[in-house]
Amino acid sequence: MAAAALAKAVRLEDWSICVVHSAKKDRLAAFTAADATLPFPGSCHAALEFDEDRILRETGGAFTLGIALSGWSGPDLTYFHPFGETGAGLGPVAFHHLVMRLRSEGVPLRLANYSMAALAAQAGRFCRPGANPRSVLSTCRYGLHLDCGKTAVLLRTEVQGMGVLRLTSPMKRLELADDGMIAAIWTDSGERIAGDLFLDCSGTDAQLIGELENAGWQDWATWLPCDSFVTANVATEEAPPPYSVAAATRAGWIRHLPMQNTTRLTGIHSSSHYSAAEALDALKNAASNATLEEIETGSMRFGRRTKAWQRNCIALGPAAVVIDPIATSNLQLLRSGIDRLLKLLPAERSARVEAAEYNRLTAMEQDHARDFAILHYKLNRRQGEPLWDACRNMQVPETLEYKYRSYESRGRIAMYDEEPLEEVSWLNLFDEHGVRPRHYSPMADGFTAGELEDHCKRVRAIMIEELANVPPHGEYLSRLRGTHDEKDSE
Amino acid sequence: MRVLIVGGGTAGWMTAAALSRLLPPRLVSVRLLESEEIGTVGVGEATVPHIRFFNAKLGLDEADFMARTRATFKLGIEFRNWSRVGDSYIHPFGAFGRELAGVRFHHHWVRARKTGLAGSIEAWSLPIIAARQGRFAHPADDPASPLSTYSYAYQFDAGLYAAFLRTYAEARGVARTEGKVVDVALNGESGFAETVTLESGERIAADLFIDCSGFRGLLIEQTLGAGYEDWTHWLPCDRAYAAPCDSAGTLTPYTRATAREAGWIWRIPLQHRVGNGHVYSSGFCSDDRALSALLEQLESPAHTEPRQLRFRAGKRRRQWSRNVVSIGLAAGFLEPLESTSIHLIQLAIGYLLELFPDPDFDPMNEAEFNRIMALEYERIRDFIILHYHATLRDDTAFWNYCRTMEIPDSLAYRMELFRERGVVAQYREGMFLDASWLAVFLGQNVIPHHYDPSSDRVDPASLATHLAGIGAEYAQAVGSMPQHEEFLREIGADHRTLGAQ
Repeated sequence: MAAAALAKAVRLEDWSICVVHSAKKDRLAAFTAADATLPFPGSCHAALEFDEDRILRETGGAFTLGIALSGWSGPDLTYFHPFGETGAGLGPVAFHHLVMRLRSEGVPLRLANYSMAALAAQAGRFCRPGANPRSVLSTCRYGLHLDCGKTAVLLRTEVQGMGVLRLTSPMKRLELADDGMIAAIWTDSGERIAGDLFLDCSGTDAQLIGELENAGWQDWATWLPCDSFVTANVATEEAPPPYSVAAATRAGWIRHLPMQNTTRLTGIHSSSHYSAAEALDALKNAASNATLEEIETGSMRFGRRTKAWQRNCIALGPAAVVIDPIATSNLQLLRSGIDRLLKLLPAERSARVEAAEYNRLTAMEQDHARDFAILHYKLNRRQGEPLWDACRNMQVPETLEYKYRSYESRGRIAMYDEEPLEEVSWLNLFDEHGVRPRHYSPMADGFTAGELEDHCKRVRAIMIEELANVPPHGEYLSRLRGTHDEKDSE
Repeated sequence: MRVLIVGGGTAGWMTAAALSRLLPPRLVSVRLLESEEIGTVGVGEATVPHIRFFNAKLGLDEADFMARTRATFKLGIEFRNWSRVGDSYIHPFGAFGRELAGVRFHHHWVRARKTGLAGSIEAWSLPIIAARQGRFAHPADDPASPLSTYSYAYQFDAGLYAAFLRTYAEARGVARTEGKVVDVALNGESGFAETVTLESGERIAADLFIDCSGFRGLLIEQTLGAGYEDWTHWLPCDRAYAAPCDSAGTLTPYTRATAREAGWIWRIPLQHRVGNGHVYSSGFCSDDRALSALLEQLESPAHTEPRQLRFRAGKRRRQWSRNVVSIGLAAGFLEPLESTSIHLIQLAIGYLLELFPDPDFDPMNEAEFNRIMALEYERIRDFIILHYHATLRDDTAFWNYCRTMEIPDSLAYRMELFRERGVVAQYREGMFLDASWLAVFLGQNVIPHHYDPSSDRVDPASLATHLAGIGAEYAQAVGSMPQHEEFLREIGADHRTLGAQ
């Protein structure tokens, strides 16, 4: 992804881009083999806009409108975390305050019932929001479920057509210059590739940045207890639902990532609470005893690089940060890291100010994503299971503690600089896990309960009406494939 | 809940108007206490575009508001003699140029300038071109139109605005009491304010107190001792003389700030007069010298004897303490160089509403209010310091001081990033966005050493075409805009039409 983006961004007469792969397979390869993206907040650099349709068509991915979390807010409870907006404010009053007001009058309401994305996901439907900003469909956002391995291959082909050099012999070692910068990479076959800027996309082994002095790593095991994974694929015939599932287990959770012909299952757990056998059993149960293919296991450390840009080396992907996928942030952070790099491309070898700004923003962003993941564990309502009880009682980072107290007080989400997730995501998480603010905005009392109930009914009615115009997910995906075939035959 | 606003003026009446409009009357009763004896400062006569949203929330009609407050339109601020004597740049309400090949415009401009292909960046700002030609029209809604690339604010009589909002608020149930506070009683246990006693002996009890009492901070400081964070080492101006006079020329759709030997002189054109003021540092300039400097350059004789104001740049350490929220000058002071005073009032009101306290006064409301307001104040402070520090002037002791002084780390970092690489450091809270920082950096001759290398992907011919194209488009669009004064009359915002109604 980095090579593709760079190749589009820079003047190739002045820059040469070379991709060297690593000899060993990343320990986390199976873990990161498939992932979900979040809707990208705001606009990203033009060079990072990829042809989604093409990627999905050629790699068999799918769309996602959110995540169904089961067993987190209670042993038999499931709730939906939608992408996009929830409800609609009335005058100056935000929707969730209206909801809190109605609940105080004894009217039970669920936020997800007023989310277009949730309604569509529930009905197995999907289409992209059209150009019309007035349509309620525009309140929906979406992500993608991607087979990362196949996507990488696709991008690789694209990139080679752009004059990016790809070496066949893998990296053997680094060569450092006197000033501590990376001077060159030596390959197995004895070739020396000198360079000015090096991007470490080698995964958790961090074969480049890991070799530099002060290559610190901040470990997050205190807050995110899982350290092992088991993955498998399950062949599917039916159309994939347009959302993923995160099902909590005794020792962690299992992710179901549906794509066009497979569902990828990833079991994430703490090795202190599940043996490898137990973890595999849990995965089999999750698959409802369908055949598990390509089973792989491994371990991981959640955490981040203290500084993602050191000297002339920038870490991207797992070499920079690995977060529990419950925050659905890993691909997000990769994309955002590249976007940030494109906006801070070094003009000179030393790149001191660029690196400082890059690190400042990256550290904040990654810590906020981390906090989002931690909050899922902190707010869990599973009783009597040691892992979950411990999580409920743990101390959390100050930034998160403040957010919690702020929400608990009056339903306010305190936002800092460089937040990768939107306010509404935090709101939904707090709300679904039963955190009830002590007060709501007095401005909500400017309406009668009747007015508010009517408003909510109207909002939902508009969404349900619009739902009729949204095709089933499977049909939307076939159209995507179909259109291409039509073009071919022209 | 009983709310008592202590102090009138723009701060008091903006707060009263907003609370009366947006909070349900059965839950909140609002009273405002002011004394006609205590003069209000009222120098905040230029504004920023955000005020239009405030007025809209109150449901005010623009033409009516402008007629009542003698307002004119404002496209930006012209800064004269700040970088060097003889320089002039405008900080407009709008961005420069258009992105090309995924790279922001100013990088392309820096590149073009390095090769002698571009002059001042002003040619790529439609509001600047319009301002310099004395033209104004409402921006277009269509994002494809060049006339959608700017915003606007007002220049008005803040005293008339306060009076207007007083009528509005009183019509919505805000009670006004005339009087002066002589004592504030606190609850023995909680330390919360409970009642104020007036000179007349009358006692007023309330649950929430809004301190709009001006510089002295009657409640927040004199009673609760919140403390003041002093910024005078970075912003040494501490006095001002202000006086109105007649206009001697056309009605310019912008404010002017002219740098002087130890401060600067403002010129704010209203419909019926021009507001003038000289902001200066008493450590570098005597009162007599400052007064004569103001009077010497007036375009017509002053209407009244100039008033002197004294102030200290800084902010209350805690702007919300217990059940007292300070708004306006009671909360802090930053000189009006970038028309921020009324905006800071608006911000405080907005956050007060968002965090309106429950009867128990949960401390999180206070904590969050203080956290965000501190960020806003600090970032505005840095923005203003930039105007002073990024000077090339060495003709007086004052400018030598500004040019060489230590500055806040946050600003130093930001300046270095821009100077080296042309990037404006990002933040979330803060009224000044990229385009504003850019306008002042470039206007003050802080030109980046390096531009975004991605710009080089565009061949020189295409770059030249892009620049020329936008420049021509803007110049042409401005030509279709009416003269400012004419436009005011056309839309009925001329105050003289009021009498005819």
